[in-house]
Amino acid sequence: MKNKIPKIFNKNYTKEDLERDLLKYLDSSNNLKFLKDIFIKDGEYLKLKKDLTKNDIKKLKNLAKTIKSNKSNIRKNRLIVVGIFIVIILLFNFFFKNKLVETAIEKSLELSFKAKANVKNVKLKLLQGNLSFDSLEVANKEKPMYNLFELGYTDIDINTSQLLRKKIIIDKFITKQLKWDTKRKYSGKLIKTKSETKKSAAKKIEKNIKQDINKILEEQMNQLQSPQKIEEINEKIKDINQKWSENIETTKEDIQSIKKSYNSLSNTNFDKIEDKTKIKDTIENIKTLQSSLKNVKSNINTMNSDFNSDLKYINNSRKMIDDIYKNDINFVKQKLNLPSTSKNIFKNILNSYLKRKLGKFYKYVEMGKGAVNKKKKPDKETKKVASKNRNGYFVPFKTVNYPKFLLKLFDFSLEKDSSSKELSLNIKDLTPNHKLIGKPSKLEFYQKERNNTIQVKGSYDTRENIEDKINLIVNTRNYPFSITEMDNNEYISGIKGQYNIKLSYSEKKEKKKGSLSIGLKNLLVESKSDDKIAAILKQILENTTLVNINAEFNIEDSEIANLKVNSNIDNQIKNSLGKYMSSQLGEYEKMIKEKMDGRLKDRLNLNSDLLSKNQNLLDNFQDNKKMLNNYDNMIGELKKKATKKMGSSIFDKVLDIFK
Amino acid sequence: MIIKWIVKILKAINSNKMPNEIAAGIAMGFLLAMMPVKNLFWITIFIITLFLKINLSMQLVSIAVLKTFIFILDPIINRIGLFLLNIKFLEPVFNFLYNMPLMPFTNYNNSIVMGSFLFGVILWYPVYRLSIAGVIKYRLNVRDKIIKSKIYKTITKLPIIKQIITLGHKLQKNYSKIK
Repeated sequence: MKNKIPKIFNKNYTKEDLERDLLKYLDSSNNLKFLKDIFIKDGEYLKLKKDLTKNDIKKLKNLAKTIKSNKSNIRKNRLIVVGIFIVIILLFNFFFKNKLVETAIEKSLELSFKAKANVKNVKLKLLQGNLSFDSLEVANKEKPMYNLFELGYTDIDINTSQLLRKKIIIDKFITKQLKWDTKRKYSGKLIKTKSETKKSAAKKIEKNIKQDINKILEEQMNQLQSPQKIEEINEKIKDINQKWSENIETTKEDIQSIKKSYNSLSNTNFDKIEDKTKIKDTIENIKTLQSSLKNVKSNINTMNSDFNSDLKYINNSRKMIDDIYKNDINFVKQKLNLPSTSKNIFKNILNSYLKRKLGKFYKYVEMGKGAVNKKKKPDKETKKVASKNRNGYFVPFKTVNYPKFLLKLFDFSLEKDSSSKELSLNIKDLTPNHKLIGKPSKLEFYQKERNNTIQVKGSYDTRENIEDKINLIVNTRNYPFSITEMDNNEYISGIKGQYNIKLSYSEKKEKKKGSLSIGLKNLLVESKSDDKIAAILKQILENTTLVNINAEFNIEDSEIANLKVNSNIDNQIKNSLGKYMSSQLGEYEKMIKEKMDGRLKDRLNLNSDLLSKNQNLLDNFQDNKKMLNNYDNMIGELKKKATKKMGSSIFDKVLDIFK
Repeated sequence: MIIKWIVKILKAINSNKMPNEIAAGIAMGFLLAMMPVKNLFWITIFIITLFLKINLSMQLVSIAVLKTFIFILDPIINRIGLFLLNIKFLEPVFNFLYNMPLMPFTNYNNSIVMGSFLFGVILWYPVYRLSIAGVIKYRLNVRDKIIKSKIYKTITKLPIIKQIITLGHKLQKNYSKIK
């Protein structure tokens, strides 16, 4: 029985101890009375009575519970539950948190750069606002076996008090061993993109030049004007010749009849004729002959003018044939697509290459801007005046008003090592809201390795009243380069050498423009084919000590627009290629002429025959004309003789006149 | 839910529960009722009370009851808060707090929050002491008289009250089983 009594009642208590340890925790007067009664004095101490009933023990058990529960001011059970919860959080903190952050960083980087990202050994200290990792690499989307960039040990300190106000303020960002374009062990490609192989204009040109001229002529014969025109002209000349041969024949007949009449009259011996009537008759006959000659002459004169106009047409027709013929040759030449613009061939190569590269550069600028301005929400201004709340007034206190994101200082430098490499990167006040900090973000990057240097300076400002939004200057010197992806032309497959670049890009309020100056030296050109143009380009590029390329461009609708490229070898290329192309053109023209001549030979021969016939007709016509004139003179003479014989009798004359 | 609370309160008042537990519940309820709810201060104080031996039912009922008319004190509380927040020599302290990571979430710079906290803290002890005295007085003088009174006996015979008492017994059994 005694064993069942709660332990706290089995002790020996002094009066004070009983009061302090047991009675103090009981409130009910019944309970207090019960407990005081149950403890009896045994010498110095108070002890439990020995004859306790079952009910007494039961009551003691309840009282023990009450005393126990009333003793502590803290609910231990709840504290234990919370303690377990905290332990779970701490375990998560130690074992899973870093892994979770690692995945989050990788995923967000992959989303931004569209390529694989890897982070190693991430350590996040939430309360200190510290994040560090051993290495980070982001693959290049274009070259999956290479990294776009790689970071070594990195340590970031974030202002946690501002982070709780949903503002990302990075006080410090230290990173080491920044590397670009490093090789990867495995591909960093996320999504496969279809590569579009576009046939370049130059390829088309070369293909067309190589086409058989005969084939083109065969295909384009219906489009040529010269065969039809020559035929038309020949037909017309034929008609003219026909008409005029008839006319000339008629005139000839008339002349023959005049000749006949003249011969009969010319046989008359006027000295022997005494009969005046006979003379008169003869004169009459002469007059009749004269009038018929006059008619023939007037006909021939009319014919002459017609003949002249026809002759004019015939002469012009030859010229027309020549012109149409030339036009046809040009037409065929056009169909051959001869590279008449080949003088700009290097410019075109550069233009297309630079457009691609500068487009990429602009995309990176936009990407950078996007990353900084991502989900930009207007930052709340500091409350200068206490505002009335539903439950009172908020009294503002002095505090630094930060924007949503601010990287105060990012300083990175690489100490000189055995390879004498110098590298430094300094970013100040990187934020999407420059209005709050009142100054632009600034960037400075410098790298030197042996003689190679790269220097980037830039500023970025989102303040509305500021004219200069973006200023960026990139300077590189003596960097080796190797371009092997020149699939935009048919002449050069790759170039190796050294380059200097000065790229400046600025975004004003309404204008985005940039300029690029590239100096190429020690060039080694790899030609794509044995093409003469490729050889010329290779020769000029390799023999020029310093190839200077200058480009200017604007950005319109997020695209590179108005790209103007020129170089110091433009004229040299223009002259060499011009010379070559003109000789090529001559050859092609000769070939076309030969082929065309073969096809138009019959027509042209016919034309020549007709023209010579026409010439004969003209000669005949002129002979007829001449003969008529002769007969006219001769008849005149005859008439004079007859008139003389008639004498000078006035009477006769008057009679004559009267008649 | 409300019936459960009432039963618990009645049980607490009439059982061996320490009067200081009940009194602390009333005093904490008073403090929490004074303060606006949506701030880290209120939440923190409330969470702390969960780990202390305070009669939670009494605390919740106190909050519910006092909240309904505590707004009457708002003008005074507001003045007290504003006065306190505008004390010049305290400004560096407030500035320091304002720039601390979690402090702005406490809304301590709100006149009602500050006023009510101060008012509540000052009045907490008097309320506590008064509540203890009240509970003891009730248990000594009132409880037995009520139990012996004819009205109590009549009321306890009512079906609803019987149900409440049954519920009280059930709760007590469950409580002892869990223990």
